[in-house]
Amino acid sequence: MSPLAIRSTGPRTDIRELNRTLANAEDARLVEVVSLVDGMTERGMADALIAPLRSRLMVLRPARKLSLNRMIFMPADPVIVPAPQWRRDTLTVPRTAISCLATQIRTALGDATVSINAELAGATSADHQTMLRCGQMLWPLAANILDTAPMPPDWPESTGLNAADHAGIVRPLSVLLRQGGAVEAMALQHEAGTTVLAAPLRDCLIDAINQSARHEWATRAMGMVMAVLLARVGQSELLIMLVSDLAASMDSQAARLASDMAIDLLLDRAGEPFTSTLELCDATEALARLATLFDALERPGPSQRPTSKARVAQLRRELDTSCRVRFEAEMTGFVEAMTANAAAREADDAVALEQQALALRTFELTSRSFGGTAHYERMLGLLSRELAEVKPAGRTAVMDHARLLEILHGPEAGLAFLRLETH
Amino acid sequence: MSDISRPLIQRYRPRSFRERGVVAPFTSPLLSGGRLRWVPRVGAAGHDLELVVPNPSGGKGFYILPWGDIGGIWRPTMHDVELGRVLAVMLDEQAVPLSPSAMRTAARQVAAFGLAGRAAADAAVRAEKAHADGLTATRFALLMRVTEQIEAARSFAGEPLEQASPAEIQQRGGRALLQLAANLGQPANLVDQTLDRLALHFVDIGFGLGQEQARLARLVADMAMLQHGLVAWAQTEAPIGNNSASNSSCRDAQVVATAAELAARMAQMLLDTARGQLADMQTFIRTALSNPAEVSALNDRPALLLDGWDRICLIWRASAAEPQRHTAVQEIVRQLPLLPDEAEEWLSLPVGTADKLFQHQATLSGPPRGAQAGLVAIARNETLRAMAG
Repeated sequence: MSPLAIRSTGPRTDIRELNRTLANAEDARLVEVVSLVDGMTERGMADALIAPLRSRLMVLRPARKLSLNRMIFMPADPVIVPAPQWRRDTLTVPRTAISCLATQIRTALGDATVSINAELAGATSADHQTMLRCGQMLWPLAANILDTAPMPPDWPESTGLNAADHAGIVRPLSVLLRQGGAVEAMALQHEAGTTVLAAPLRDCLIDAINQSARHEWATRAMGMVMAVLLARVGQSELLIMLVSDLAASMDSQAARLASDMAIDLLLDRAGEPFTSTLELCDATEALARLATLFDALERPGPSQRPTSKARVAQLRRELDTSCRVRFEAEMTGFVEAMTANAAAREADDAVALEQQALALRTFELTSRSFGGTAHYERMLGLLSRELAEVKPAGRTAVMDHARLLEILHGPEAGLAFLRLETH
Repeated sequence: MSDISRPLIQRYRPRSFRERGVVAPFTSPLLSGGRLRWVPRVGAAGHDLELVVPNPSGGKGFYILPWGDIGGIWRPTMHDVELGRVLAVMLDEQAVPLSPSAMRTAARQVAAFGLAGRAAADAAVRAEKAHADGLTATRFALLMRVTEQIEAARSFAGEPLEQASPAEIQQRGGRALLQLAANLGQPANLVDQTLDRLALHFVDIGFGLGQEQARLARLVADMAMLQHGLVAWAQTEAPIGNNSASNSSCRDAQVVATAAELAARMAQMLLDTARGQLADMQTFIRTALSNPAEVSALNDRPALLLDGWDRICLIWRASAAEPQRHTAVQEIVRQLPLLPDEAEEWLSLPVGTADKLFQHQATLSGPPRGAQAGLVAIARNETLRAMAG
């Protein structure tokens, strides 16, 4: 079926049928459909098409069209969860609430949407400058609206939540949106490999503490900001230390509690089976973030809690097991790819194999943070024997093989192989 | 001696270009921005390579250590080990000083071997072919320049040289060379060989109609683009990032832009000086015959001054996406070529100019930490090798 056949007013049974089709669609097709839905002014039920595919979209990371709807709650992305997963005692926000509030904000923005929409015209999520510029206009306005607007009339019907839930969600979201510009700027720096310094993190946390101080929802607001920072900016050890210091110096018990809740949220997610569902490089990235967080939680300090320490130990064991399983599966796939056409490999295949080796090695090095050093050494030994079985012929094949050895076993192994081959 | 026990030199600014060394296109992250020097062996005949590398921790200062001691924590890639070996053999066998041109030759040889990946190998082969073609064209252009000047001196009334066929140019060029040799009282083959040597310099310097296409002229143009790009980025990025990290990046970007502009201007002056020699080919070749080392040194100057800037331009170009620009600026600041005092002498600049240029407090950060980040950084550096050719 052509993606153009999707209509936002179709009955739910059609949507379910389309969902099944898309769930089995190839990646390129999926990106095509998402782009189409992103381009619709009134997405209506077509939005439901994307919902079950979010995990795949996170892996594919297509450059998605920037729209006002997507922009409004972009800084809150790490705390937004599907409605069935939402629990009142956590820092998360159900996606149904986000849709309802986005409609309210869009209406309240009135003429302001014209200039923002003009800026966003044609831009995608890859246009970071446009995204930041529009966000810095939009997010404070949206926060103001959340602070003052009454509960939307359709709130109970659209979200299944009550008035108390509304109050508990919108004010913390408002605090988070006010920090949106700073958070996104730091997140982009972090994604680019730049270390985010303490000063901007501290400024962001102080602002959040000041904005929510003495309110009953203070812990939740600060917790959301903290959870988003931990998820997007890295620097978990520095963040935990900063919050701990600020909690003491600003006499904010809420800040300390917020930090604990944010850590709990991330630990909850660490228990999800992402090592098997994500692409290898994305799983590696997620593991690296967790390794830093675990190290920070295990170090003696004011933020250390016996409960989180025990939980981290348990999670380490679970992650160690799942990482070993994934590594073995990936290694098997790599060996199969390596032995195919080993004698004369096309340039594209050689490059793809190197990338596979690189992904395998970075996953393995990251996985060692959770244990299994001896296991990985043994597996790499097996891999070494598999590599020794391959007899490359010709200078190019020899060099390709030496580079695989270098990636998997270090430059010494590659050079030793080359010496043997050239003498 | 263990590399760990080597002292960190806190304040280091080379007085001469020889002391500064030549930038090596290392792929190991810890060696990024490192330079090699060819130094006399202590207590024995011969020379060895020595590495000058910015403090890998990201702090201030440099490490200076024998290339032979590289290993252990530095753990160079196969590419870098082989680059050091090939370079040392080449310098030993040819008994030539270490120059950017010698480094480029060795680096292309190693890359063509495939040690930095297939893309870098293909690029190196293409670059070597382009260099060889460029040499032939430059040699031909020098011969034309000699012919024009000799024929003008003899009031030759034939067809203008640029309209003549290649065969006729060769014929008239041969006659002009013989006349030049007679004027100089030297054998013709010696004059011919001198033109070959000069072509090695002028293939990069460029002259005449196509001079803007020569490697160093293109690099100066790239540096102008870099400078404009950095200034524009610093102006537009500051209000968007709006935190102390982006503010310091903006300051660093301004520092790099200023250094690029000054280095490009200095290099342009040196390029103009070198090209000026071609206005009187008879005098130029006489000097090249009587004092080849002096002429060679003079024409090496633009390449020495610009050494390191090609990699910096590549780092900037490779960081096209916005958030990577912060990282690129930090990496560039760490690798900013220090300007030796010798440059002041070359350009008759006031003493202390070079010092002023580097009186800045840059935000220094080291290469990525950890084995995983190291592997990714190696892949990025190999991409730079492929871009460089």
